[in-house]
Amino acid sequence: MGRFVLKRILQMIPVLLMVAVLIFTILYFVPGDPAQIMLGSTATKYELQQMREQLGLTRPFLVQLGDFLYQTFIKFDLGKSYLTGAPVGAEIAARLPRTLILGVASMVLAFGIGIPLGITAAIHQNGWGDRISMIIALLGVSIPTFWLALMFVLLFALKLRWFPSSGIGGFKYYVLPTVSLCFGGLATQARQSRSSMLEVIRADYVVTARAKGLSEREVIMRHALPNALNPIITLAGNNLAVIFGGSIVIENVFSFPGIGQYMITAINQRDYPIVRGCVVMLAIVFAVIMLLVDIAYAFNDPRIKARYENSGRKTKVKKA
Amino acid sequence: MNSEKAFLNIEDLVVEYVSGGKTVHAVNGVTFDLEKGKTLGLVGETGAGKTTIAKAILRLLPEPQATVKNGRIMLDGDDLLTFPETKMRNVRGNVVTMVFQDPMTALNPIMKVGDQIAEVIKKHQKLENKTSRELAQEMLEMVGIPSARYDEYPHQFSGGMKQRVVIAMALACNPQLLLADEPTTALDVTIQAQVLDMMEDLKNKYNTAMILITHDLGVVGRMCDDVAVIYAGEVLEYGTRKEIFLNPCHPYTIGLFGAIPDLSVSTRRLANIEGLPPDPTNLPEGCCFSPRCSYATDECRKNKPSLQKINDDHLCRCPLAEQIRSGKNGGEV
Repeated sequence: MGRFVLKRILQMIPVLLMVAVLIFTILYFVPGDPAQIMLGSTATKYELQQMREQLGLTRPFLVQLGDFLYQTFIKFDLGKSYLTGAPVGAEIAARLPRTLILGVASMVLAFGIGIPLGITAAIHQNGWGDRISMIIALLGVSIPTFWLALMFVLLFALKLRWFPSSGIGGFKYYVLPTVSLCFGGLATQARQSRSSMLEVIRADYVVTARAKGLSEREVIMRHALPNALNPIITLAGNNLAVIFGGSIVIENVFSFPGIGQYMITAINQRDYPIVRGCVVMLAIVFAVIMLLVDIAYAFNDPRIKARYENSGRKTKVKKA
Repeated sequence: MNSEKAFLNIEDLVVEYVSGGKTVHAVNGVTFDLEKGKTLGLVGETGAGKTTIAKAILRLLPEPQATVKNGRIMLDGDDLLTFPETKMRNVRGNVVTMVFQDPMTALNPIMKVGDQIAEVIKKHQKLENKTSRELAQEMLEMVGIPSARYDEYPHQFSGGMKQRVVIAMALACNPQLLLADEPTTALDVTIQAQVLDMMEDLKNKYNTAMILITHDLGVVGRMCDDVAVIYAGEVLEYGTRKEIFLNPCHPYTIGLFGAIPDLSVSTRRLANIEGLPPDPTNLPEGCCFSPRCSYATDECRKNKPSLQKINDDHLCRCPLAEQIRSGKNGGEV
């Protein structure tokens, strides 16, 4: 198992390199001139040219790319903002935790509500619980996150004044963004949980479990749910990605100073070091999440664990 | 036979399923009984209602599709059908246990095999984890699996070994009644013999009553004391093994025996019973076998025959039984 994890971590390296090359290339070809944006419309041609040279933008593409990769992956330096000169690494370090808290909290909500909702729906298939759960799930997938966020702001921030509408501070500032962000994930999670539970609930081993005299609760929790869990985990990984993507939108609605808002502002200002830094950081976060999902698989299902371990053994044989 | 005070006495059991708006008559008035330490074979084609009978005894029929419309299932003097669910849970896995047809799917794929056995022991004997683990290891050894394999998962076991685990699970709490639903159908022939021998030994050791569901008459001949031939949810013929095997009276039973190849004679084609079992959503009016029966009269097609006594050890649901039997010795059926 350790071998497998090590292998997966090593596999992350080329993925991250690819992401870095891609984002650098895209930004290189994106229209817009950082020097122009920094100096404003009154700048002379000479000033612009000087600024470009200062930023290193006049060098050939491959030299710039090589320099970027060298700085990022060898010296672990994400560079400085064109506009403010603040080090990108430090800025991200200050903002990433906020986005992570926001993402993880919505995920906990999405799973904590979505999975039990799906299970209840499956157990009472075609009953009232099922219908209500599926209506909630349908609403969840159909309502756009940003619209829901705006409605929450109108109701809970402006009308009822329970929570602040924007900014960052204590716990209160996280509530509205978290709740509006969790809905989509909650809905898909509920639907997936329902359908994978329905699949296992008629399985022979569930009948075996009942024939042992276990209570319905024990049958569901010990036999049905663990077997239904793997598709749920897969979707959870995807949902996490969706939630982090959604956080970019939500952060802008709530002026929440997380990594998403930082990145969007930087894109508008053509502040390339920030954009690249954020994308590479998010890629690392995703890669780690996907690794955790794969490890969670193996822990839940011994058959998958065996496959991981066997694949390790095979490479050993080949080497010998 | 036919004693009201038998250990297990099933009387006039009727089970119906509702499927796609149609009513499926799966079990239609089945009556039989069973003494401790004896084995009853339920024989019949696929879809005859054998498994439904077993699941009805354990009250494991899928709800709300299936309902027991009528009947009594008396176990040791108590009607299982009147038990509340909580009391029924103490019966399942403890007093009455079941061995399922397909060992490949009957075990939870992501739970250690040992734990699956220990679970049932812990549940019913209220033991600590350690003691139930030890007992489960003993059970594994008893069915011929080294106890060191306790911590392995079903995918690491062969089919025969999985079925042994299922049997160990069923016998772990020394049940008084074992329902074995085609325990050897999914296994290859050499393993079949081993598993049957093992079940026979364990049954004798604990004096367990057993209902053996099968369509394999060879297995019946080897294991059973009594035999009930089930067709379209009805008992067509019921008696001791000796009576049924040496003296079959019902055209259906005779047909079943006719389908067994006789190796002493060279046969090009096995005898078969023409036609298919009736549609359980639309059973024939009279005798359920009449559409396929070569002896059937208009009377058979109109009125449902009742079980008739051939002798003390033999019942048959055919008004022509005597005639057929006397004629049988002369010619081919």
